[in-house]
Amino acid sequence: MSVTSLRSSSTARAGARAAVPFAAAGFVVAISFGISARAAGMPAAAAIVMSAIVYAGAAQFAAVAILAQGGSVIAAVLAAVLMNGRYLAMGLALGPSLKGGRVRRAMEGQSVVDAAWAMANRGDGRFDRHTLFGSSALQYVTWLSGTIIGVIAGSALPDPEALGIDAVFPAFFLALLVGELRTAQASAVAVGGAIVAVVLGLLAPAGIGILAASLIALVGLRGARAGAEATA
Amino acid sequence: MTAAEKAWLTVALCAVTTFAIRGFGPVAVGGRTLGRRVTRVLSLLPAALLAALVVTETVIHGGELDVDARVVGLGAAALLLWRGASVIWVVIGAAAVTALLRLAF
Repeated sequence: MSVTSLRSSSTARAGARAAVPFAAAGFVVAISFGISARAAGMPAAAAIVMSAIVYAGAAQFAAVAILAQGGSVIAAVLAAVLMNGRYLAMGLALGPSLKGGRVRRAMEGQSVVDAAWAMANRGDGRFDRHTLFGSSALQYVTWLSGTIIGVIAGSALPDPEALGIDAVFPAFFLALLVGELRTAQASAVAVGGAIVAVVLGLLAPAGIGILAASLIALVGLRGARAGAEATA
Repeated sequence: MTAAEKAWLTVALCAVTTFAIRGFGPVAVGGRTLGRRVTRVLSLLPAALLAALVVTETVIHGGELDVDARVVGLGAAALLLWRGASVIWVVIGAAAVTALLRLAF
């Protein structure tokens, strides 16, 4: 093994170690997903396959919620696409830090999940690939195993909401959000995004509010202020 | 279409679209470095999106405003985060507080 590959595998291990709390929390979130999917009338195998090949919590919750409300397949998939819109932006930011040709880049991009992406972000516009891969790999294992347990538990539990299962997912995202509020500008953007999402969430079809909230980040186009300077 | 067929079709279409979305950015950008202004916007995106997700998942249910025990559960999560608790306890704490309130009322 060369010195570089030794170093990269140890970075990946460090990434996985740093991801342990998120992977553990993701395990609980995945259990809540499995339970919700069963409650929505989804076949157990479909829920498990979804976690295995989609591996995007917010999108999976959104799609299942719409199916549960009797929505169409198109509406469910559209909501998932809108939820995943942030991965488009995260992938664009990650692009310069990845290696190889088109196929390899596309494959490496599949490792993006919120916590792993945030952890690999060095804050100077560059990302550490191996931290991303290590962190994402560990979270994948707990996401899939948690879903399997949730699906089994969901068939046995009469009322999942009595256990506060529906509070698990927003609490997890709150923890991710707090890590992003490094500057005054980021906090202002978060408040703006929240307001836009709630207002449009009440007026527009599911998912539109979330996507519109991302437009608030465009305030970053204005000259670097004190807060933005620290992030860039 | 049966509910099971709808579920499987949704899973398949979600898999294809998610793969395309995750692959697009890295392929489109290639090895080029992005400008400072673009980088600044991208660095602010997670704050906007995560805040939007947290708030809508907490107070909106089926397209309508629904303020219930979850809001207090999220308050507990915020308190735990402020006290520096690990994310696993934040998640468990939010569920426990929500469950206890529902049990009590």
